[in-house]
Amino acid sequence: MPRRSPPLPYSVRSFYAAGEEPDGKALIEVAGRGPSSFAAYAAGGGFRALQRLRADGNAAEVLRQIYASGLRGCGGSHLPLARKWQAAMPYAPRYLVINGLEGEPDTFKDYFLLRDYPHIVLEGIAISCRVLGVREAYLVINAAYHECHMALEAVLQQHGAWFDDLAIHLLSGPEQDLYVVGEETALLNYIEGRRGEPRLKPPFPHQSGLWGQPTVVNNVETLSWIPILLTDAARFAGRHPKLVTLLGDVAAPGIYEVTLGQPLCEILQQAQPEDISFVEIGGISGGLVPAARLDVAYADDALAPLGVQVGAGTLRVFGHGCDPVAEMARALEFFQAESCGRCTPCRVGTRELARFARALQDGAVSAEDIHWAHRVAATMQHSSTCGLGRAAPLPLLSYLKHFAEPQDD
Amino acid sequence: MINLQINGQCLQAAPGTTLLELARRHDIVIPTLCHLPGREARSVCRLCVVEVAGQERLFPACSTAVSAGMVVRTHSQKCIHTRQVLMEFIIAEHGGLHTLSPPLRALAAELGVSAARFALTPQHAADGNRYGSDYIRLQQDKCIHCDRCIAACRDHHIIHRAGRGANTQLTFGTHNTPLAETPCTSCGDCVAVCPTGALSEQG
Repeated sequence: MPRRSPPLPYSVRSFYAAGEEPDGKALIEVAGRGPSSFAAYAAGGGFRALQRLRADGNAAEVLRQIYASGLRGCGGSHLPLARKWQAAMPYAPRYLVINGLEGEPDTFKDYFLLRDYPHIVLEGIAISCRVLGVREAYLVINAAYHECHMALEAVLQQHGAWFDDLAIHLLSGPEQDLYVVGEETALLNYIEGRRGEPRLKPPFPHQSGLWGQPTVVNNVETLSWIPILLTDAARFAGRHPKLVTLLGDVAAPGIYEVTLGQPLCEILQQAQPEDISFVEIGGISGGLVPAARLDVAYADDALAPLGVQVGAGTLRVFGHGCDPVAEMARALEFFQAESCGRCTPCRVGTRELARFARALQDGAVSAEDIHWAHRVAATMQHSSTCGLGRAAPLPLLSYLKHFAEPQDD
Repeated sequence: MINLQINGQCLQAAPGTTLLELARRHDIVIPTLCHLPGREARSVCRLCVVEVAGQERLFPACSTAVSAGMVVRTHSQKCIHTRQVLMEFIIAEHGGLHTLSPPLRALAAELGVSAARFALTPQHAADGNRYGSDYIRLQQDKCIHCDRCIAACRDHHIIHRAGRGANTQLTFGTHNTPLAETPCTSCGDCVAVCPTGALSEQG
């Protein structure tokens, strides 16, 4: 919950209205809240962690604290950050790439951090670079977040002394909001000026990443938690905080700080939903869950039986009168348009599932068709190259599980 | 040397060997399409996927290196079901079975797939075919994006993939130029490896 000092994120409850663009990024309307000033951030205890690290150079201690905090990747992987870094360090990483594309539709947590807390983001990057022994970082920002880009540029220019030994490059993401570029290796291709499609793994980016050099790729939110955990250990005591984007048919849409494992109902109540018919959990690549099944903890292991995951932390509430089949079909249309077209299961599978979804909407499917859709989904999940193809069937599978097939209980 | 098991057989391989190389050395047949010996693995067709014990997803044998203690199955139900569906995808994308190359048709027969149960509406504009040269003809709608032409092309900057999803296309040059305006020498390597007739000699 919001705290006074240091003046870190999450005191803001509701600040934007998301438009409903069927494909691509929703437009953002901002209620005129400028970025917090550098002076205010520094006065409130900001840059303490970076200052300490610059003074004593004890990177091992920082890594130990990150390890102890249990901080996980907040872009959707939820892998422990310390373990990812420890795997990378023997390769002597050359670049740090920070993913600020936030290509998941209706997700604004990174936007919120970049716009209102650019100093935390930059402090997190500077600390990460020092711990990893990296001198060069690339922060790729969603092209729609132009104002954030400008704000970060200004901070870097005015307060470059804090980042004197580092080259932090700010890059704008693709103009057309190419969802798949959010995949880490596709992002590396994009930075290199290549076609934004995923690379084969292995080699993993920490082995051979940007321009063939060992590279660590992290999400904006993940790195933003680092200065916080280093100065406010209580924030991580026995809990893992996460920013969620809560929107849809709610009175108070916004970015909320929650604890992984917290009851999902409790999280949803913060945004004051009027009445819940179903919820899209984990963004468009997540799935739809009816109101009756929401009595679960908000954590990957508890959500798994429902066929959904935390993902990037997006929760979209749908009130009565909303049609789950239409939402599901919309998600599949999105994936069929966003597949990079590289591998057969994803390129053809997304088209076939989108066709099936339209047939389902028209009520024109047989039991045999449903069986086939399950086979297509399994093929995509088992054999697609990257996460897009593996996640694309989830909206359909969760729909079939919760809305179309007989319930077990 | 690394010790591992394929289909119950205990095998040894040098680090860096791919599962496909090792399997072929021991006469274990894994179907492939996009793989061209001696060329960098593309791993786009996914027909060579195999099951690795302890892993939920399948792995392409052509680009997965051996690792110690790996237990691999090349013909589990899961592998075969996946290949069958992928074969239907290929047939649907190409627009039929009978104009596919003989090896691909033989593989379909082996997998028990004789047709796709769905059809894909062609998405390419009619002029998508105009970019061939006097010697090489491009028929976009026949393409199954197996990348064999890309792998076979001696100059890696000539054949590219462009577009996304249903609009994925084969293009020439870095800016979708007609083939005749690229450094293409019409050597025919791409035509020779194309299993669909999407690239063919001008008649």
